[in-house]
Amino acid sequence: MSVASAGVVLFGIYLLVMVAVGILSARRQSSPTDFWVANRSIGLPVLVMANMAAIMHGGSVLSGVGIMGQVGAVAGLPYLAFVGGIAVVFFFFAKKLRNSKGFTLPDFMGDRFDSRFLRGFSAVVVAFSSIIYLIAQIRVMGFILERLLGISFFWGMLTGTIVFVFYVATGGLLAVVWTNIAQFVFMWIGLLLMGPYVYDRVGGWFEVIEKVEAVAPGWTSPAGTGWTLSFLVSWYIIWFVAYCTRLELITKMYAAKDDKVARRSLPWTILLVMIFLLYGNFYIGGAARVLVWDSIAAPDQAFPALVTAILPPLLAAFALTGIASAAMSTTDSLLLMSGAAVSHDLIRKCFHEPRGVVRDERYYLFWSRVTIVVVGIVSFLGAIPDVDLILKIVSYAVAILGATFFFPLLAGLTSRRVSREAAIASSVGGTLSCALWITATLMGASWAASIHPGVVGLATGGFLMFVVGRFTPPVTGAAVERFFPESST
Amino acid sequence: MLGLPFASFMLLFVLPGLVLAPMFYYSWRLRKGTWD
Repeated sequence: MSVASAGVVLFGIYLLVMVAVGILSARRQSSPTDFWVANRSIGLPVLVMANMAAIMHGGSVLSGVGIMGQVGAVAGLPYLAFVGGIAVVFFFFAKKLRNSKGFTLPDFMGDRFDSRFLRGFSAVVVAFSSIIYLIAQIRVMGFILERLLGISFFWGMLTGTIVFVFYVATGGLLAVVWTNIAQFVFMWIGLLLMGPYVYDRVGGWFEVIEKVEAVAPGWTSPAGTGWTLSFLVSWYIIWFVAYCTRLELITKMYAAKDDKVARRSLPWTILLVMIFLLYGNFYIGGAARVLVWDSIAAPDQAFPALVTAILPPLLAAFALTGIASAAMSTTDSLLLMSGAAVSHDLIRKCFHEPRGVVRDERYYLFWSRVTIVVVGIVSFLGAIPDVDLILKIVSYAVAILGATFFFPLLAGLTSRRVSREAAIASSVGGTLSCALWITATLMGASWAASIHPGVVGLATGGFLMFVVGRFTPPVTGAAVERFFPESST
Repeated sequence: MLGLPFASFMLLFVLPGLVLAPMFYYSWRLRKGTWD
């Protein structure tokens, strides 16, 4: 049996499960609260699994193995930033977000700063950055399905896109959460199955370290094999902020049964993420460097190459399905976010409500489904041209999100004294400077390449929040009471 | 052979653990109802 024939069977079963979940959960959708936040009913174990599956994207393993194999274990140092970012959500964001009873991050921006403009702007940023993110995930799917099913890269991307667009558009967040659980299981089984085979070929943890150091001197050193300090620091900042503003995670806080469940899910989520990454990137990445590095053309191919080299076909198919799961479980959350951003935030809150237009819930559900399909198609088209390392594309998407939302979230949820103007200046200024820097980097400007666009966006956002905030009056009234109920009594 | 480089690596495990520990502590207090 070849990987492709095992893959067709296994992935076929996987797809059927996803589609069935979409159809089953569609039967439970009657209101936007059902569709977007699963009726705010998710308990702790399910939330932990859904969180973990959502924030581990396809690139976390595929590019993670690639980048660690390439530059050394130091590439894992920013993982500390992941935990730091989650700690900020745990201590400062989760409770107030859950209790504010919103649906989306644009809801927070609009409600907290009493600004329709900020709501609309945030919705556009969410939809736009989701598309960039989706492009990266669809490419992961292309890589994986190419190996798994023996089809072309193009058809791999198309198959993956059609499936997740279908189950998200039909089943909403409930489908996302249920499929996330199945994907969580696939991800872990897929990766853990590799353990004995990698162990057999290169030995345990310490032996991998010794062997990789022998083939790539400096791999275990604090500088890796070509990792500069400025690169490390900027990735560190980007990931810290990214984990404070991961849409897939923040939005799930709204779906928790209560604020305690929302918060308690976070340490468990990030603990699982750390175990997954230290094993999945560090151990597997080291092994890939030792075993397959000479046979691959690009770092992103290291994982698929390793899997097909050391695993029997059926298990190889399992491991690859696991990565496809990781990609899909992130994609589906983002796709849902962009549906909510357009239908709930733009159409309903920015256009209909101010004009007194009343439509029934089915109207908004219809438009969110249309958006989901359109965003899926646009992302698919964007994924066709050949692009850079997947993790780099993801880092641009999270950089834009961080620059837009980090300071408004941090200031808006920790202080009553934030002005609307400061939030707008920080959000818009951060986004624009980040976007300009990305454009300059992509156009090959040498002055732009040395600093990550996200760092520029954040510095601008933080500066504007501070300066504009000093000269403008804070938002008052219901907008503040909703997020700081304890101090109004 | 694995002296200093290896020690630097351990940071991968120790530092995230230092941030995780207080989160678990407060999470436990949340469950007990002694922190809000």
